[in-house]
Amino acid sequence: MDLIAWLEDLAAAYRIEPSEKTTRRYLKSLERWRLAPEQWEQLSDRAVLRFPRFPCIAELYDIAGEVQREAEIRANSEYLGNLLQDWDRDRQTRCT
Amino acid sequence: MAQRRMISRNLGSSRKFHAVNARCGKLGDFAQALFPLIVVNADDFGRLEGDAFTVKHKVFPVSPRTEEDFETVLQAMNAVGLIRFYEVGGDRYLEIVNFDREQPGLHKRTKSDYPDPPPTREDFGKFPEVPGNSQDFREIPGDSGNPGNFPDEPNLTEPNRTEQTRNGTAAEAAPSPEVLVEIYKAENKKLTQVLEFGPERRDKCKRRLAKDPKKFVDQFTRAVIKAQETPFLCGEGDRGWKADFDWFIANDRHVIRVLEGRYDSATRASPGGGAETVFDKIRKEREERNHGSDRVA
Repeated sequence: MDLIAWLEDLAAAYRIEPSEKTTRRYLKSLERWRLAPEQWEQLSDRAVLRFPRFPCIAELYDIAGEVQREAEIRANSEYLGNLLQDWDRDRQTRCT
Repeated sequence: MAQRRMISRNLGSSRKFHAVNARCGKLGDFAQALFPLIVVNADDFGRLEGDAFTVKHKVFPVSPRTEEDFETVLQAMNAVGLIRFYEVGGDRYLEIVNFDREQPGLHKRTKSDYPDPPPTREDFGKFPEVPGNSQDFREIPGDSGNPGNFPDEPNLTEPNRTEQTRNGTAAEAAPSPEVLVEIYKAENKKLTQVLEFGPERRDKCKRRLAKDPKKFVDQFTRAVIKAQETPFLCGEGDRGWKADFDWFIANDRHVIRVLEGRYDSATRASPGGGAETVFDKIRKEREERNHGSDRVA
């Protein structure tokens, strides 16, 4: 994921050009986060919807956590759904 | 279907949300409690079964209210424009109005769990043959009287009027996202072509049109024309980079920069802006660092 482009887009959404120091500080933090490309997209979407001003790194971090949790829940639900389906299938085959 | 949905903080001060309370009388509070639950249970297109029985048992099964109460409340929501009913094959469905505007991440959705609503008269305006023509097409001369099937209210219940402005007034003629690609195709002679208009591009166009659609359409049209007169944007720069549709809709800034003439010099090396931005500087630094480490390796 090109984080410089991502941050540039986020800054453009707020029509600001952050200082070099701020940009480097943000990039340093963002590089440690392990998000999938679609999660980065969700992160910027939600940040723009939620904050009328350029969000601080802590606020972005909160949203990133939220996005990750949702992805985990989704993955768990899918996993449980599959288990349930398998279980149903097993039961049906045993009945027949 | 998503497990969670966004509920705007503006809901509490929404006129429609207030109207549904007033309209339902004693059931007002119940109506206001039910609406967010409908939002949460709707599919990625904001649709759900519209009959009271299903809504009761799917959305709010622990409610002590009767099915009749649910029906009353749903009718009130439909009347004030929070939701819109439609029928397909004898079954009633509901669609949440302005769902797209309030929910993030919808560009990845593919197919609704429920059938599409049948096209209404207003939908004809969404297929402009000439770019930007959709606004004129909606008004049929001499047809201002209400023929009966179409609500008298200025289409607040129309699901596709999602491009309403944030201040609550209906955007009378918000163009559909396709308008931008139509304009690009019509005006483009030299730049990269657009063959597909997928959900990602659609979403970006929607975002660009969200604030001031008329202004953006105008700026976008002029920018596409001007870009073709700008050598750098036509691929005559150092790197041979060419402006494309995605670049124009990537953010609000690019279109304005083209119009400001910031790419007019053919000697520019990157599409970042007139002067080198902080991002360009960091990007360059990293590229150099990477090249350096390659050499060492």
